[in-house]
Amino acid sequence: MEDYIEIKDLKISFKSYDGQKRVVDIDELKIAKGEAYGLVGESGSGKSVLALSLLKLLTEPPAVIESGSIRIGNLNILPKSEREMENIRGKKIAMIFQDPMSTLNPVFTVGQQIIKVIAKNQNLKGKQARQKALEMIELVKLPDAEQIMEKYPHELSGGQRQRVIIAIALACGAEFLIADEPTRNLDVTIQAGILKLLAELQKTLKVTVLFIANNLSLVSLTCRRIGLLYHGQIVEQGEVREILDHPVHPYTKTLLQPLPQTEEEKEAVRRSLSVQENADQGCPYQFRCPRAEEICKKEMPPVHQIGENHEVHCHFLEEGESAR
Amino acid sequence: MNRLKTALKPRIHKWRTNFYLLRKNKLTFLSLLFIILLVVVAIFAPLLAPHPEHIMEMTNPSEKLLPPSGEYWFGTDELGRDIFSRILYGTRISLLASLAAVGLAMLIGIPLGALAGYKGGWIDNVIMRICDIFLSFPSLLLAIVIAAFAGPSLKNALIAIAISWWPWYARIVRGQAISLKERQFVRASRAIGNTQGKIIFQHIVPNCMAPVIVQASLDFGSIILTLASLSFLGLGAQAPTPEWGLMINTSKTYFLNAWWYSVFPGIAIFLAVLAFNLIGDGLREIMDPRTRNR
Repeated sequence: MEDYIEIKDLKISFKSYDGQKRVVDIDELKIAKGEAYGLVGESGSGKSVLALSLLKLLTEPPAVIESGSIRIGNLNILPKSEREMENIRGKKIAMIFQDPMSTLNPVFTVGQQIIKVIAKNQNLKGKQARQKALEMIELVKLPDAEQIMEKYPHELSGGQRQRVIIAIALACGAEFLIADEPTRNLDVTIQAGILKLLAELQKTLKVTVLFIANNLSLVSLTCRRIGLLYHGQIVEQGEVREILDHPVHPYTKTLLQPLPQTEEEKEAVRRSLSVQENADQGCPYQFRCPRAEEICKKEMPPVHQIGENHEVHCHFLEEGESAR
Repeated sequence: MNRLKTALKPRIHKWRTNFYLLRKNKLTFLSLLFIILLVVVAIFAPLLAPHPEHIMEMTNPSEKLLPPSGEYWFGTDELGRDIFSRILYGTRISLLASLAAVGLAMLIGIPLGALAGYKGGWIDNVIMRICDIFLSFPSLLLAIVIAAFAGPSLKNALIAIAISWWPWYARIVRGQAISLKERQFVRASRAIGNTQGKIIFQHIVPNCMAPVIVQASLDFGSIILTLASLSFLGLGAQAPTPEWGLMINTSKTYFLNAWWYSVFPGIAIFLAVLAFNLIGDGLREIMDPRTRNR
């Protein structure tokens, strides 16, 4: 399949009082057209920064894009001016934000907000725009579209609001959708509903989706391929089933582990959480890795291809893994 | 038709709750009634005034400075004109001029404040320093200076008031805009490709309106007062306009003999200002959920 999104050598830092801190450092990330790609990592691993950089929405400074290139479709994003970006955002790329509670403007009804977006992006007016808005609300499976249109955001529940936000994002007619932890602050049953909806819409509308989550089980429902982000670097990536069944990188294994049971396991978690340093050289995971050795502190781990669609950045491969 | 009904139902409910909140606060409700009365009087002044021909230039020497009576409720002035009719017409002038002044001040202040707050940086600094310069003069003094330069007339007086008042709106809106621009829906709006101008007018300004409306209704009283003051000083409305401040100005010569000439326009100013101040306070309480249930 042809690559729709291609990120190369992207390095983003933030300026702070004690120097620049690297938050995103991606060698290569490719997403095919019509694919759902999941990006998983704990908080602070640079997921949202990466998402915002795709839309060029980072505030610079403090953010600094040191090097790299981002290609979306046939657009080279990074050199674009703010005015050019205003035409790309929404029409080509849309984004669903983390917190459904505050993403809608509190002073307008849901209908007004959807209609505004439709009027802007599809040049429809009056009745036609309203009709289209109703269709969008029905598309995200909200009952009583007519009534929802007249409601203010605070009258809707979190799940309903997130559906409205998805409707707005889709109303833009974008071919690429970034979903930045769309199920955050929602409870588990509602999460499942939203994820199912996103997966369905992705298939029927054939949009490319970058799905960001802090939880492997969330992306496994919606995505075909996933990447694990640690300190802004992709440490393992591949097909979702493959990674869930045979995790290789110690970080992936930690994320997949059930709650720690024995004292030993608890101690390991505690130790790994006490370290928050950034590695100057070597593997980013060296401080928390249970099997780190000298070589991890000195050298960047190489990329190992395991099978056709699975790669891992680690010095150690377990016995037999490279053979599979 | 049914559709319309279901669509309107929540709105009607909201109006009812707001109205209920208004009713609970007796003083606010009373001042609202009074303001409605003022508006009605202002609109229907020609029909309500018993002597509409006494409004402008006319002399009626045989009936000058008569005390209040059945014929002239508030007495007559030095030219024999009916003070009651002139006060009714004065309502019209005061309300319209104050509305224009507040509107003009908002028209200047809100966009500048939103721009300053949203853009930040040097734009913010320049706009806010200009505000500081304007605010460092007492507003009445500034209005007097501007009105004196532009020449005395009602139009110039209200422009002067607007010019000395806009920084207040700019400041309020700037404060709101600074907190609003970090909100998720503003970022989301950027993410779907809205331009800065659109964001300022679709997201920032509408969300700033609650405190601005409260401030406007509070200011309305002060602006009526300032307008009357300017007219009293001879810098606002010119004779024979039936403006309240102007009427008090002409009456001061006759004050010892004809108390009614100064007292009734004075009461009119007092009540109008009081009503607008009370409604401003009441609105502030209604719009702030924390004070709502007291």
